[in-house]
Amino acid sequence: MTVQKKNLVKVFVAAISLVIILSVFSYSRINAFFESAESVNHTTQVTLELEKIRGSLINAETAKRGYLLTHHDLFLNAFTSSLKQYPQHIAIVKELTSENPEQQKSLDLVERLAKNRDDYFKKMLEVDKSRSVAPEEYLTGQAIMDSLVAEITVMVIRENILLDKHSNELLRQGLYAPLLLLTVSIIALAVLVFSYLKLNKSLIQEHKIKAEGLMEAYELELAKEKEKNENRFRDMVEQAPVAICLLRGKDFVVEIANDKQLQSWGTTREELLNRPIFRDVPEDEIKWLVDKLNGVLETGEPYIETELPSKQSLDGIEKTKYLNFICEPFYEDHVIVGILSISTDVTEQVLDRKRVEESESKFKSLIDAAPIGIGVFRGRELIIENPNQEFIDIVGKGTSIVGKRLTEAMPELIEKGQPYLKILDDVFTSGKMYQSFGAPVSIVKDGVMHAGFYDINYVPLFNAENQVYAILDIATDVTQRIIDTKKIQESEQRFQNLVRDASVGIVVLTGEEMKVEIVNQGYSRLFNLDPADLLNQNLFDILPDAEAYYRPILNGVMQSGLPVYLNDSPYSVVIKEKLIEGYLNVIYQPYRNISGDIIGVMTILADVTQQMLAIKKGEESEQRFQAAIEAVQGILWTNNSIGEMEGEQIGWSSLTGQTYEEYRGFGWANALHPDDAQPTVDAWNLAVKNRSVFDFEHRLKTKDGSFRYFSIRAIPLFNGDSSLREWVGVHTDITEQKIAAQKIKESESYFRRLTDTVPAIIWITEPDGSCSYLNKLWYDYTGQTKEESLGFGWLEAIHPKDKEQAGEIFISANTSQKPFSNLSRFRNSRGEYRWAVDIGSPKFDSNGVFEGMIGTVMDVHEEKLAEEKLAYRTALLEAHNQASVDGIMLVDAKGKIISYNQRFTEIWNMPQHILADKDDDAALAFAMSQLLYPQLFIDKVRSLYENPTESSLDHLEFIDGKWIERNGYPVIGEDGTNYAWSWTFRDITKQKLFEKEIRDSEERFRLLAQTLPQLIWVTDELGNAEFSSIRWKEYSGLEPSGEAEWKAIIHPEDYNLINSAWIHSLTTGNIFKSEVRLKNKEDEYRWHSVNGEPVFDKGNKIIKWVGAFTDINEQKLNDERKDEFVSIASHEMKTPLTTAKAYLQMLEFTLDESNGEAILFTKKAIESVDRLTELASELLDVSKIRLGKLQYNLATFNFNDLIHDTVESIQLTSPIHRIIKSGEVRDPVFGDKHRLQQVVINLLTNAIKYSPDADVVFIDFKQEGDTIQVSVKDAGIGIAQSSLDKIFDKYHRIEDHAVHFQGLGIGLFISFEIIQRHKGKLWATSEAGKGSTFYFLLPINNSSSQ
Amino acid sequence: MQIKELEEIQHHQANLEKRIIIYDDNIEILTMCQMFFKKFHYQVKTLSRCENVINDVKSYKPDLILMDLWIPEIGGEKAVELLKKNSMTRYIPVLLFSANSDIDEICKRINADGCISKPFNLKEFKDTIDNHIRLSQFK
Repeated sequence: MTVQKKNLVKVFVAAISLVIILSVFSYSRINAFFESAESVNHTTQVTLELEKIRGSLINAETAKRGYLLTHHDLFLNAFTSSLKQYPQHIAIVKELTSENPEQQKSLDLVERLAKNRDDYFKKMLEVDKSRSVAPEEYLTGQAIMDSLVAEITVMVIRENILLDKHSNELLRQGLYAPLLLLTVSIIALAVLVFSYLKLNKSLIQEHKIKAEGLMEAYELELAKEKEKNENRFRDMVEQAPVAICLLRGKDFVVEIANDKQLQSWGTTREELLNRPIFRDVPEDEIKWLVDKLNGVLETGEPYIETELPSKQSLDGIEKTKYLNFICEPFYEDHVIVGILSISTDVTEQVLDRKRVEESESKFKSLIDAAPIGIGVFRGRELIIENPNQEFIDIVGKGTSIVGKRLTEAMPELIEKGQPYLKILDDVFTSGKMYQSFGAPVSIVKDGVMHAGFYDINYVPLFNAENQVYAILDIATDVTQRIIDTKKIQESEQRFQNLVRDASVGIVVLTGEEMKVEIVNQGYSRLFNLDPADLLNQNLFDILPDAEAYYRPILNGVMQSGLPVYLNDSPYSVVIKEKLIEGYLNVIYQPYRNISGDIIGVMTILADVTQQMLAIKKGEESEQRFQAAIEAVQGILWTNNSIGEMEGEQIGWSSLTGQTYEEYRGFGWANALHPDDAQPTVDAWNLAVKNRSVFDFEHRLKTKDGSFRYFSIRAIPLFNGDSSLREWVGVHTDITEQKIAAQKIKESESYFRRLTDTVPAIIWITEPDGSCSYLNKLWYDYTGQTKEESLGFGWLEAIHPKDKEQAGEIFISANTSQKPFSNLSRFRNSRGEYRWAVDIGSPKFDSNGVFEGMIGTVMDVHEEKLAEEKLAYRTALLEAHNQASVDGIMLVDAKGKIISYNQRFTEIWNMPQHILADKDDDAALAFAMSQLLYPQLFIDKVRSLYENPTESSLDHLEFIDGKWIERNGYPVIGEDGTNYAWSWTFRDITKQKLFEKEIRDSEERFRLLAQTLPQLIWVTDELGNAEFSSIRWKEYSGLEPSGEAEWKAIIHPEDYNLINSAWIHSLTTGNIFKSEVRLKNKEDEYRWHSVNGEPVFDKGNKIIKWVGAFTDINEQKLNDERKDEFVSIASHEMKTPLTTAKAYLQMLEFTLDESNGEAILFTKKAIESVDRLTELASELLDVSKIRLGKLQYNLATFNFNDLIHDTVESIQLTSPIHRIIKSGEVRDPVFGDKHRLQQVVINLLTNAIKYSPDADVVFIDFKQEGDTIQVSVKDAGIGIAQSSLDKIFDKYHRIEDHAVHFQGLGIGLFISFEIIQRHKGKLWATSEAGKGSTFYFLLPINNSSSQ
Repeated sequence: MQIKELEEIQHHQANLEKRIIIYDDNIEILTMCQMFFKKFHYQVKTLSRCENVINDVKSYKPDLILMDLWIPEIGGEKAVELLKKNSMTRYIPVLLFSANSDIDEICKRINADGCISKPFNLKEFKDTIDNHIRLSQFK
C-alpha cells in the first residue's frame, strides 16, 4: 500500500505536474486566443475610425460645397469642425495600425490628400472673394475627394482582409486551445480518478465549464463580429462611390462586383458573377491587362493605372471613358487568391480637365500672344512670375528674368531714380490699384538705355487673409503713340504759331453761323480789333456790314470745297462807328476736319491797301514825271545805274563839245567849272548811292568855251523788279535866269514891269514861303483876286488831288532853298483844270542871304504833251518801219512822201533819185508803170485820200507776175485830224501762186467729183464738212454737212461703227475705210463702201480728208447670197453624205473576210465620202471667213503636242511619204488649237499632194523669243514665182497642174485667214520643179480678238 | 463562236428595252437610223417635226433623244430647251444631231447632254448613244 500509495502519490504528483504543465501551456494558448480576439476588436476599431475619417471628410466636402454655393457661414463652421475632427481620427488609426506599414503608407497618402484638398479649398475661398471659382478648381477638389474616399475604402478593405486573416487564426487557436485543454483535463482526470477519485472533482468540473463557456461565448462573439465585418465590408463595397470588384484566381472569376462596377461594365450581376471576367474578350486585346494582373497575383505589388481610356459603346454610341484603376492583391490566408479592383470613372473630370486645359492653353496662348505685357510680381520683394512674351520683350532681357526680383531683373529702375519701385511698394502696402497712361519708363535693352512710354496697370492680388501677396503688371508699349501725339501737338503748336505770327490775316470760320475758330493778329488788325474780340464769336455779329458780300462766298466754298481767290478786292466796314476801308487779296480755303469733311472756311487775307494806293500814286507820279520831262527845255542825258555816262549822248555832246571818249564814265565831270566839279561829283555819288533825286546847279563849259549856269535834275528809273535801271537827267540852262535874277535884284520896279508883261505867270515868295507877288497873268489865268492868292491862297487854285503834293514840294524846296519844278493842275477862270508846270528857284540877295523863291507857272496842257507824244511815236514808228519785212511808206495828208523804209524801195524797185527828191508824182508814175492794172491802183489811192477815215487792203498784180498786198490806212490824231497816210506793201507772190494752184486743183477736183458716180466728200483736218458732191443731194436729198445729216443718212445699226472708225482715222491719220448702209431718197438703205484718205501739206500735216462712198449694194447682196448659198449648200450636202457614209459602214460590217475586194471598195468609198465632207466644211469655213463669222475658241495649249499628234495622224493616211519632224517650242501657246491644227494639216497634205514623186516631207518648228516659226518643206513640183502671191487667194490652185491634182485649193486661203487672225504671218518660198516651203509665224501669246 | 452569239442575244435582249426617239426632218437620215438601230434591236421612234416634243417624249418614254437642229416647226434648239425645262423630261439625255459646224457651242449653250455631228462614224455614233443611256441610268 505504501508502495502503492507512494506510486499513487508519484502518479498524483506526476498528474498534478502534468496538469500544471498543461495548464500553463493551455493558459498560454488561451492567452493567445484572447490576443486574437483583441485583434478582431482592433480591426473593428480601425474600421470604425476609418469610417469616421471618411464621414468627416465627406462632411467637410459637403460643407465646402455648401459654402461655395451659398456663402453661408453655417457651412463654413461645419467644414472647420470636420477639419478639426479628422486629423484626430487619423492620429488614432495611425496609432492603431502602427505596425502595419501598408496602412501607414495609405494614411500618409490620405493625410496628404486631405491637406491638399484643404489647401485647394482655402485657395478657392480666397479666390472666391474676388471672382467665381474656376471650374478646374472644383474639379481638382472633387478628384482629390474621390481619391481620398477610394484610398480610405482601400484601407477599410485592407483592414477587413487583415481581420479575416486574424479570424481564421483565432478560429484555429480557439479550436486548438479547448481541445488541448480537454485532452489534458481528461488525462489529468483519468489520472486523478485513478488516484484521487474524489479529489477536487468539483474544481475540475468548474474549470471545464468555465473553459467551455468562455469558448462558446467567444466563438459566438467572434462569429457575430465576423459577420458584422463581412456585412460591413459588403456594405462598404456596395455603397462605395467607386466601382469595386473582386476577381478570384488565375481566370479572374468575378466574385464580388458592386453596382457601380456593374454599371460601368454595363452588365447585370447574374451575367457577371462567378464567371471569368475576360471570357468574351479576345485574348490578344486584353493580354497586356492580363499580364499586369498576373503580375499583381505573382508579386503582390498593386497595379495602378490612372485615366485609362476605355472604349465602350452605349446604345450604339461609342464613347471613350477614362478610369482610374487600383488593382490590389487579395489575400486569403496570406496567399494571394485574387485581385481587388477598384476603379473610378473619371471621364467627366478628364474631359472637363481637357476642356479646361484646352481653354486654359487657349487663354494662355492668348495672353502670350497678347500685344500687352502681362506679368506678376510676387511678394514685396517683387519676384517676377508668369510673364508673357510681350512682357519679356518689354523688359528686353530674355526669359532669364523669370523668378528674379524686379530690382535684379531691371536694376535701371533703381539707378535712374524711376518712381515705379516706390509705386509698386505703395500698391503692395495700400492694396490700391495704380494706373498710368503713357508713363515714361527707361529700360535697358541690349545694354542700351531706351526711353519709352507705357500704359501701366499695377493690380494688387489678395490672398485669403485679404493681404496683397502679389501685383499683376499689365503694361503696353505706347511709345509710338506718345511720340505721334507729341508730334501732333507740336505740329498743332507750330500751326498755331504760324497763324499767330503770320503777316497775313488768317481766320478760320466754322459752321453755318461762321464762328471764329482761329484768328490771328493780322486779321483782327484789319478791322482795328483785338483777336479776343473775334474769337468764338460769330463773324457777322461783329462785322454785320460784310455779311451781304462775304457770306455767299463763304457758303460757296463750304459747299463746293473749292478755294476762291479774290484779288485787290475793296472792302469797307464800320467798326465801332469808324469806317475802315482798304483793298484785300483774299484766299478762301475749305477747312476740313480729320475725316476730310468740310467744317468751315479758312480765310487768308493780305492787306494790299498800301500797294493799291502806291500803285495809284505811282500812276499819278508817272504822269507828273512825264509832264515834267515834257515841261523842261533842257539837255537830256542818261547815266547808267552806277552813275557813269554811257552810250551816245547827243545832247551832252552838242552842249559841251565832249566826244564820247571824253565824257564816258565820269569824264563828263571834266566839262564842269573847276570850282563846281568836285561838289557835283560828290553830290552825284551821294544821289546814286541813295537812289534819290539829284538836284543840283553848276557851271558847264559849253562848246564855245564859255561857262554857263545850269540847273540839273536827275531821277533814277527803276525796273519792274525795283532794281535801278538808269538815271535820266536834264541840264537846263539857267544862265539867263541867273543874270536876270542878278539884274532883278537890282531893280524891283523894273522887274515888276517886266514880269507883268511877260507871257508867263511869275510869282515871288518870301523866305517863310508866303507868296508876296503874283503877276497879272496869274489873276487873269486863275480868276483869283489878290486877297485870295497871296500868302498860301494860291494853293486853292490847284486841283485838290494835286494840292497837297504841290504844297509839300514847294515848302520843301523853300526850306532847302533849292529850285523845284512841279506839275499840277491849275484851275483857270473858267473852272477848268489845266496842267501847268510850276518852276521855282531860290533867290538870294547880293550877300547870298535867302530872300525867298521866285518862279513861273506855265500852261503846258496841250502842246507839250502832244509834242512829247509825237516824238515818241515817231521814234517808235521809225524803228518799226525799219525792222518790218513789209515795205512801208508814209505820206502826209497831201500825199507828200514823209518817210519810207528800205524794204519799200526793194519791193517797188524805186530809183533812189525819186525818193531822194520825195517826188510824189514821179513815185506814183513809177509804181503804175510796173502794174498790170495801174488804173485800179491809182483809183484806190485817190479814193482813199478823199476819204480820210477809210483804210484799204488790196492785192496788186505786177506785170512781172509779182503779187503785192497793199495796205493803206490814215494816221489820225486824237483830235481827228488826218496827219498822214501809211502804206505798207507785202510780197505775197508765193502765197498767191500756191493759192492759185490749190484753187485750180480744187476746181479740177470739184469738176471731177461732180462727175463721179460716187458720193464724194471733203472735210478739214478736224472732220468739218467742206465739200460734198452733187451726188449726195441726188442720192439722199441731203448734204452731209453735219452730224444730224449723217445720222439721217446712215443706217442706225451702222452709225456707231462708222462713227468710231471715222474718229479713229481722224485721231490716228489712218485711212478711213468701212462699209455702211446709206438711206436714199426712197428711204431705202443701200450698202456703200467708204474710203477716206488724209491730204497732207508740205510739212506732212493733215490739212484735209477726202473720201468717197461707193454703192456696193448689189455686190454686197450678191456676196451675202453667195455665202448664204455656200453655207446652206454645205449643210445640205452633209445630209446625203451622212446617210451614204452610214450605209457604207453598215455594208462594211455585213461583209466578212471572204469579200476581200468588196471590203476594199467599201473602205475607198468611205474615204471619198470623208473627203467630200471635208470639202463641204472648207466651203463653209470660207463663207464664214467672208462673213466674219468664223468662231475661234482660244485656250492655252502645248504646241509640241499639236505638231506631234497632227504628224502622227497624217502619217497614218500617207504611207508613201515619210514626215520628218524636227524642233521644239518651249512655252505654251495661246490660240485656237483646232484651227491651228487645221493649218498644219493643210500644209502637210498639200506638201504630200504636190510632191507625188518624193517620199519625204519635212516639218520644222522652233521658238524665237515670243514667236513660233513653222516650216513645211516638200521636194515637189513647186510654184512659179508669178503665182506665189496668188496662192492664198480664195479659189486659187496651182493651175499648171490642175489636171493632175484635185482639190479646190481653198485650204490655203483658210489657213492664211486663221494665221492672220492669230496675228501671225503665212508665206511661201518656192522654186518651180524643186519644191516649196511654206512658213508661218505665230505669236506665242497673241491677243487676237474674236 | 457560240459564246459570242449568246452574248449577242443577251445584248439584244438588253437593247430591246432601250427606246430612242430621233428627230430629223430628213427622211433619208431617219430611214438609215431605223435600219441601223434595228440591227441592234433598239426600239426607235422617228419624228420629222418637233413642236410636240414634250408630248412625244411623255408618251414614248425614251431612254435617249436625238435632235436635229434644223427641224420644223420650232427648231431643235427650242425643243431641247423645252425638254430641259420640263421636270419630267429633264433627265432624259438629249444629243444634238446636226451638220452644223458650230454644234459644240450650241450644245453648251442650250445645255444638251452631247452632240453628234453629221456625218458620223457609225461606231462612234453607237458608242456615244450607248454611253449616254448607260450614264443616265446612274442618275
